[in-house]
Amino acid sequence: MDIKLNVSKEKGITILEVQGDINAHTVNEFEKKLHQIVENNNYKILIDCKNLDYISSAGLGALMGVIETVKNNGGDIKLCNTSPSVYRVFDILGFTELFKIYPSLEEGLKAFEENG
Amino acid sequence: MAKKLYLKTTIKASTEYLSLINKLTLDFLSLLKTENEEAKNISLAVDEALTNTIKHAYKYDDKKDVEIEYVYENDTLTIKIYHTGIPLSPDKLVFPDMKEYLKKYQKGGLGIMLMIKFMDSVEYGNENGKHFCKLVKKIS
Repeated sequence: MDIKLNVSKEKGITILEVQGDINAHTVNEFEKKLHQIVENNNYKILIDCKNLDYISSAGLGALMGVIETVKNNGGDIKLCNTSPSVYRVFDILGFTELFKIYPSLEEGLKAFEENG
Repeated sequence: MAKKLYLKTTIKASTEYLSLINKLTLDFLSLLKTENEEAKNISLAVDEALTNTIKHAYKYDDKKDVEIEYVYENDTLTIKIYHTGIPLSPDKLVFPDMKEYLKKYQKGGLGIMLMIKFMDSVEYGNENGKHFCKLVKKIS
């Protein structure tokens, strides 16, 4: 399974929609897209995982590679619409403390509006 | 009679095969009627062990071979990933303090952490001139 990435913007929040699998083979594309978003000074990032079937530690590593810059610029990376298996990967290592996960896109956007 | 299953396959050391092996692991586990979410956890652990082998043992040299062996007997699944590259260091099996890890925005060693969390045991060793990573999980 390949990876497909789509970037859109709503109310100043960058939404990165991920489709497919994030593993050590596809992670370079995901990482490149995250860096592009951050280099364009977009620091409020909501990752929509509605069509993300699978994530390995490579994906977590890619997020860790940009989170410091994002936080230092007053932003945040949040996720929404995760499947139970994708959620478990974040949760089991305690990553849900750093990356808040919301049940829907609307709730993710609302969280940015309310808390930044 | 107690169920026994065996499967062995060889791939080149390329991440291109990760998705294929993921599906193979899930299909093997479907023969054991493993619950879907547990099967996904195990296939992720295999993906991580394989990724570490390709990345650290072979440094992405896709001319090298990686063997993956699945054995199910006595209610126990044992998956061994064999290679002849650089042996992986067992000291990396130490689980870090995750609060500190996240505070410092570290990103290394996450694959091994997931393997430890999702399997009953993770072990490194060598036999017959090959190094291996052994993943064990009780499945009843």
